[in-house]
Amino acid sequence: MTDKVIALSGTAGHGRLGMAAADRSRVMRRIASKATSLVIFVALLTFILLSHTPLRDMRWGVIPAYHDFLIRSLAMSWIVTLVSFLLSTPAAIILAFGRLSRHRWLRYPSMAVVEGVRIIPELMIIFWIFFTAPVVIGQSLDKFTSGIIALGVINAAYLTEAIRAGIQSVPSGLSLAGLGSGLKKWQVRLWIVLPIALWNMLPELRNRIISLFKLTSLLYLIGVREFFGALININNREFAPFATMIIAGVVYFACAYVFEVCSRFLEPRHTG
Amino acid sequence: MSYRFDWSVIWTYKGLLLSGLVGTVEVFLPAAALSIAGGILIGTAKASRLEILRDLAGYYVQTFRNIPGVVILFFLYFAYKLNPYTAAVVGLGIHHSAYMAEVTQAGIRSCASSLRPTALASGFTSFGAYRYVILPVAFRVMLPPLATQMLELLKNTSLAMTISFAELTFSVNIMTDETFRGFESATAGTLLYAALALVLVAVLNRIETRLKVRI
Repeated sequence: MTDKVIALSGTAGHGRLGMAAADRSRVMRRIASKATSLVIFVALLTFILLSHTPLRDMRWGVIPAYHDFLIRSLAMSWIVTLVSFLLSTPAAIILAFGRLSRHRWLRYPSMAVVEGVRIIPELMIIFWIFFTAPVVIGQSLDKFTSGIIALGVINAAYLTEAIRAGIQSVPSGLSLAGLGSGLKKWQVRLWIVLPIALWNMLPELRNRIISLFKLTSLLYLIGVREFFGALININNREFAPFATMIIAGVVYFACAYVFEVCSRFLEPRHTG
Repeated sequence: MSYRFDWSVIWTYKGLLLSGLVGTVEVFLPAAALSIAGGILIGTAKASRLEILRDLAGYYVQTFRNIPGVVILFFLYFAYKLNPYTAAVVGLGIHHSAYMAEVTQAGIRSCASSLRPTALASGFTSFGAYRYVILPVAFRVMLPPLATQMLELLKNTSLAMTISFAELTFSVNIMTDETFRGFESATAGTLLYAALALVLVAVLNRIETRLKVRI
């Protein structure tokens, strides 16, 4: 027993080469498992798809034929995503501070807004903005604007919860220190609590952007020219459900995945 | 604001709204069962000690979490030519089983490392330890996030209207088209969704208190 412990600590302490070899074999095993299961997974998906309709009947020709249209509409999806995200983030920050406020007249209304939006389906909110805002305001909004407003409202509500959690995760000692050094309350919030909270929740912000991007697929219902709407258009004209819907799945997956990997790469490493 | 409200349309269209409500529940219940069953299966694979199972389940979750639900529904409806109801149930089940798998995995991970050795030492087989010791505890741990997921699923049943299944959002849409009373119909729909959500929360809370282990 003692020999074993000594031998182990020996490898850990001095034999860097031995550890590296063990590490390498573990990494190799991980890669092998990942690759094998990826092959199995893709093969399964392909089998399920092809067992229904053979590849040549899927009408893949429509995708290159409309590639220009598709790329433009994909850009539109990203524009809608980013614009509505940027516009709704300040609102979410204000709502989050409202939800955490000491004053009831601030806390209850912001809670009502956030919970109200979170409890109804996203589709209903899109309709709310598109069909009812013109009636109430008295003028009609164009599709693009109402799409952005709808997604912005949805994002603001969900982001508020995330920011609230982020704010609560900031140690209270920091704001006390800020107050102690003579800053006003709003200065402490703006310059101390908020930056740390946002910094801590970068992964959550990334998740919000990805789900907002997936949500743009619903805007085809009010006629925004985004990616999914473009594919539905093509499908209506050419009837190629397999090609269009498989491409939709692949592209949404790829965009979300690439975005996630890239932003993970840019994010600071959280250690400890 | 020159808009004159006319709330009587809600009463006129109560039949349509109620049938929409029933449609929503009809999609929700089997889709919930499907997503919980699939989620437990895949979540178990994701928490398993077999590397290859874990990776396979991981790919499943990653894939179906990153594809919008409406794409899955359209695929099943247009490409596989399922009828709207089946497409909605199966599509929502697949989409949400990916999220449920994450919930299940977290639940199992939270208790398996301490319970498994204990169960094995007291004579359970590997499967028995999972089925009779780990899963019951994990299920209680994962009830609150499961409730969140069920609320998400309830909201996502509205996607079924995109493939022309007559549920609540579909009814609201018809009402708007026929009466041009978008504000009133949307209010009615919203209130009905809120009522459904409250009922669901009450039921899940009741299950949670029922299952709570009293010592």
